[in-house]
Amino acid sequence: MQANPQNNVNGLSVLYGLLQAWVYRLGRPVRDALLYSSAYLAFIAAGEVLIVTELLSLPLSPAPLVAALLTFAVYGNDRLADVEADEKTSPARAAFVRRNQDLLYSLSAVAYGLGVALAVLGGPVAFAMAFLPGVVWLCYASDLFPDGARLRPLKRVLILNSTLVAAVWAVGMTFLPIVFVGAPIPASAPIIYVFFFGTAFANVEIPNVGDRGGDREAGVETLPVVFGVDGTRKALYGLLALLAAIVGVGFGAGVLGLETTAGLSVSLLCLLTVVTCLGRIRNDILTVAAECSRLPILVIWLL
Amino acid sequence: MPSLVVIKLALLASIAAGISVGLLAWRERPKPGSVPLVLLMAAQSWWSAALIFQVQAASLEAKLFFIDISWVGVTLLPVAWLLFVLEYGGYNEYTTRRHVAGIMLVPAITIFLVLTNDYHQLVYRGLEIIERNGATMVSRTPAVWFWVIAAYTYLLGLLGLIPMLDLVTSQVRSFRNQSVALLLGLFAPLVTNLLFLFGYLPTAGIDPTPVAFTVSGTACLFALTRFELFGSSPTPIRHARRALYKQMQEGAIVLDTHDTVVDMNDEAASVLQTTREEALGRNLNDVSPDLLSIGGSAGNHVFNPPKNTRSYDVSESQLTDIHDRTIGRIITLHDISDLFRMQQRLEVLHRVFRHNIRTNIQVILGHAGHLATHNSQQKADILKQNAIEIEETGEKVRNIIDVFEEGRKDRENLRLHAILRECVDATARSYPDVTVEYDPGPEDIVVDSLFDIVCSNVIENAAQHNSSSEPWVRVGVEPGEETVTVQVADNGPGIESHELALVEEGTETPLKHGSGFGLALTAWGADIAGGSVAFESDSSGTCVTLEMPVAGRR
Repeated sequence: MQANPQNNVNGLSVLYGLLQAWVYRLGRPVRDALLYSSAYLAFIAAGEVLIVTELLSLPLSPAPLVAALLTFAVYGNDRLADVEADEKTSPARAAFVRRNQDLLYSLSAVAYGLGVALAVLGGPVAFAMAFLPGVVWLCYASDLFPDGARLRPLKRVLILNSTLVAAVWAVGMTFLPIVFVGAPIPASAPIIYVFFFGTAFANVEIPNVGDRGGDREAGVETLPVVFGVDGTRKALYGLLALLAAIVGVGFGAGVLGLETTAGLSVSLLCLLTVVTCLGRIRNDILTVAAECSRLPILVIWLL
Repeated sequence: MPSLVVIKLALLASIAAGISVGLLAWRERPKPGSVPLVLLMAAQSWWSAALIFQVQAASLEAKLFFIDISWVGVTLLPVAWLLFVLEYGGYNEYTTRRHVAGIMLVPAITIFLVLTNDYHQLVYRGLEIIERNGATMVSRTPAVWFWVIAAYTYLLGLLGLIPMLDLVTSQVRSFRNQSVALLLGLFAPLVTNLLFLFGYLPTAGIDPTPVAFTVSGTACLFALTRFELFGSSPTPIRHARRALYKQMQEGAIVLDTHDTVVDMNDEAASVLQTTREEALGRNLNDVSPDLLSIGGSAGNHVFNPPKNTRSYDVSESQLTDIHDRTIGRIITLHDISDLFRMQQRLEVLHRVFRHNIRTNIQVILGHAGHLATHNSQQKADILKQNAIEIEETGEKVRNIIDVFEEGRKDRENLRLHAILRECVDATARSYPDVTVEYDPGPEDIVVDSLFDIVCSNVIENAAQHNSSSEPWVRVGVEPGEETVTVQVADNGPGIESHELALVEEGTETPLKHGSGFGLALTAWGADIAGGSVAFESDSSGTCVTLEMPVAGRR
């Protein structure tokens, strides 16, 4: 009696379907937790500090772990603070945050505590730097100004909101590994800082394309709210061109090595691709892609 | 001796726990105790961090600098602890800005003295460099102010124990658990610090107190997460008791065993026509001798304060301590004036009712005997008249009972002008021989609907009992801001003084006819509706003045 090959095929497809369903069932909560709790940003932050450590030829230190913990804590809190605004723009994320708000806050608090404690090992400056994201986030996210005050909350002011976030992010990424090991500031550090500041600025404005409806209602001025998607795209092209020019000048002046320049250029190309796709592809995908745009350097080095 | 790595790890754990608990407490703002707990954790973390920096510092100057700045955390810790316990335990009266400034005075002086120690050496007298386990540590000899701040720290710590110990014995399990966890968090650093100060801990000059604060942080974290530190809080207990005592409708006076007034609430002070400040510390015999005699007597428990028309039921309860020894007593004064007044009114109503019925029945019985043997139309008319009067008496009593019932209900408000217009028109229709004049006031004044019955009764009585040859009744209105006055004047024969006494004082009076019912209904109805009535009467007529509170304008 001959076996029917069709049966084998059917059996395999059933098995494949079961495996796919199992992976989906297991993978979805993990994906949600990573994406919606901002845990993936913690990994990105750690990766970026590792990149800076390598770019500036610094010894390995706990700085990547500190950056990861502080990033998770600050962004976790930001998710909690924005949960109402996210109801319209990111309902799945808002639902996840609402479901897990107590756990998320507790984990954020513990992460910040661990981050600050580890930063102590880097000395007083690292210790002070560990408080910077928390303090700036408070100024950024809280309505510290009373109603009717002539000053508006920083989160609502065009460019200033993104500048503040980008500046703090870039300070942490660039200077934390330097401070941790007590090394003198290398000549390439300012260029690295400007690069991280510029790309972080773009990373803040890219998700704003998807949030523009909610931001407009909340009175938050962002590039997409004020200039529209096309205007935002053009502004970010300009920013990337400026960054490319600075990297080029740094290479020309001998401040940046060939490997560093190549790595930064790859990152800029990745980010340029994301900016080109603004308004043409789902914004949540572009947001994650933009945040990961600096990681190819790490992948290249690892390979 | 524990290695330096172990001490550093413990200090790092202390910072991590401190920052984490601080952030968890920050989220709980503005719940009582949350902000002081944040400060407590911040101070602990600061001290721990300064200690690590001191260990890591390469130069002596740097080590001394970190020792100096660690004092910010050291001195803030007991202050934050005390404020936390006071807020958590509900002792908010001690957490005002003035109190906080007072508590902060010694820490502020300490920090100033630490920073200027080179000039006076009040905090430290010298220093010693210690080399242990490959680490260079600085040991400084404590001077007089060091012991002052140490004693102050322990004083604040122990003061914070008092509310905590009170909660340990709480009947609410969660409060017991919370306070036990927090006490553990307090004792760990206290005991560690004592052992360090007296040289029982071989830590090479490193004060391990902040390490012990890891236990504090963990205990607080446990209290926060497991025992819902800010989820269920004992804060309202004291305030509720105090508020209950202060705001209760009964007057309450607390006496010690010598009858000295040790406390009284505002209501009691009002009843005794004194103030708390004036009465506290004085013997009750000096404050109110009448009350003291009632409080001690077994029979009469009704207190009528001098120069006051109100009456109070006096009750007394003994205060005992945990050994069941009497340590004083509480006298409570329950206002029974309304009850008294109602009882009085019912007695009057009963007397008048019985008097009128008895009079009518006697007349009926007397004439019925005569009618049994004689056929007399006149006697039959008298019988009929008395039977009608009995029916009218019943009707009037029913009206008064209705007024009492209305007094217990929520009533609506009516426009005074509509009330008076209706009463005047109805009276004019019922008594066409009487000239009824009405001078209307403003039409927008609104009063209690019970005045409808009162006004109707006054105007109708003025017409009904007017035996003048040219009878008239005049109704006038005088509006005011909060009250409105209605005057009803007539040229009738006036009201007998004994009948007025009946409604004005409730005295025993033999009545001659049922007009007392009308007066009673007027006086009591006005009183129940929050107004008042005054009668001016002589042989040339009567003027009834009704004063009513204005309920609004529409």
